[in-house]
Amino acid sequence: MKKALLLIALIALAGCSKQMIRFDQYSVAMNLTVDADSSVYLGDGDKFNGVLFLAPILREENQPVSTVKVIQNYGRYYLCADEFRNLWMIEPTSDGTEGKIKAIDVTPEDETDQLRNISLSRYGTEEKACIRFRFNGKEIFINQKGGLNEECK
Amino acid sequence: MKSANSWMMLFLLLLAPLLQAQDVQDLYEQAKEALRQADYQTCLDKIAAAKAEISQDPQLDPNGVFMKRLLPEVERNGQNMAAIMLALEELYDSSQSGVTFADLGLNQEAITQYHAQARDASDDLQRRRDEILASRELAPEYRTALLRAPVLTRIEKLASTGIMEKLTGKFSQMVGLLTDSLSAVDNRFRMAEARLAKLQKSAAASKQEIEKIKGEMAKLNTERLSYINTISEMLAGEASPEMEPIRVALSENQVDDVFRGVIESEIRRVKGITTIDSVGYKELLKDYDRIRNYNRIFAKNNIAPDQAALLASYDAAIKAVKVEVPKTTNWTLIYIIIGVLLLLLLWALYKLFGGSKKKSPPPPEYKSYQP
Repeated sequence: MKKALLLIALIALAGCSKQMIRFDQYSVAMNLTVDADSSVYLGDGDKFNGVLFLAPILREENQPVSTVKVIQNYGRYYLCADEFRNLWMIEPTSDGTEGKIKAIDVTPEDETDQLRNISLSRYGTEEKACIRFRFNGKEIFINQKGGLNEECK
Repeated sequence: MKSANSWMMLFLLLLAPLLQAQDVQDLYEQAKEALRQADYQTCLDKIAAAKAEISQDPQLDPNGVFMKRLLPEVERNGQNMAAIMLALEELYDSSQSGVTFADLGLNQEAITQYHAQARDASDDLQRRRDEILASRELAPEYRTALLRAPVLTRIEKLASTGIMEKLTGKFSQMVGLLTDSLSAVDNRFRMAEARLAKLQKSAAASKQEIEKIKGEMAKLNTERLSYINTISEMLAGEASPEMEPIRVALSENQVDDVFRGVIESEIRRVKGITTIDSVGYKELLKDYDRIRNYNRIFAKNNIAPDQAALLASYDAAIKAVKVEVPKTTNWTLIYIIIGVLLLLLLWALYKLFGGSKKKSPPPPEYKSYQP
């Protein structure tokens, strides 16, 4: 009897739990125009899914730019522009109104080095995709959690 | 901002190979850009290269978004544009060599027929071009690019001037014949005009004789306008260098003198009309529009100087003609009168029958008894 009640309780609990669906958060690289207020619309024309206000990043880079490249991977955004010194990772907070920013210096050997010929793309498998960042004729991979690697792993 | 593992990063970068292969996304963007320039071949090459890159290393497209969604979409547009361009090239080539004109002889009627055939050929070319353009789907940005493609410009030129240019040879042979005939008719018209002026001054001139000359002049004027119309048909369409010999021949044969004379005689004719009915007035306006159109064609082709001043006088003369307004029947008044008469008739009938009944005395048997 007890076992039967336990089983019923478990089934009821399972029924009450939230149902999940598969949701892949990623994008192809976007070339976005920086507006006068240092913001960029994530998207194209009337199809966009948010705005990033880049003032702190642009202040840190101290480099005037008209466009930036942005790509999304597992909910995080990666942003860079030619002649930036860092690749920037933006991680939206849970309430969806702010994003934590983190500068990733991919040229630690040279503080004055600037990134040129940059490109951002996703690389890997459906289950485990990295960001492949190409710059100055080199490339590095950034894994799902934002870690840097020589390969996508 | 420096990461803690700076030295490890340095090590990684030293190991990183120099990059040779292009990004799939770069190839995709380049393919789209090529198609925006109507360069479908480069577009398809870039798409093929992107697909090859992904086939070599499937990790370049983790979710298959390029292979399943983005590349096929641009590729389909590229293939459609290729098919449209190919069909347009074929249409241009076939029209270029296929439009021919049978020999209709050296006469005025032939020019009208040639002109009609050329117009039909041009309309047909444009219709077939539009059919090809609508035959396959293209995204709006690529369709805009397609409309700027050189083959469409060539087709447009062929439709507007090229087909008429094919008649240049035939028309060249006719220019002399036409201008000689026009001069002869114009001389006869001027002579008849002078004869009429002389007759009108003479007191002995009979009305019958004057009317006869006027009829003759009207006939000659119609013939003269017919030649002018034929010449304008030869020059119809865009002024092209190929038509230059015809324009030179027409200029040398003083078509401008004849044309000016035509407008002047039309002004005199209109000034001679004091009143006209609305149908006749519409005819006058039609003649004016026709001559104004000839003026536009001749001026554009430098056959005759722009006769704007004369045309303004012509227009003023037409406006000065009084148009007779026919007396129209006032049906409203007629209906009112008929209505009133009907009411009067009804009233009279009522009085005649209904009124007399009331006044008739009651029959004797119903009289009240008075003791």
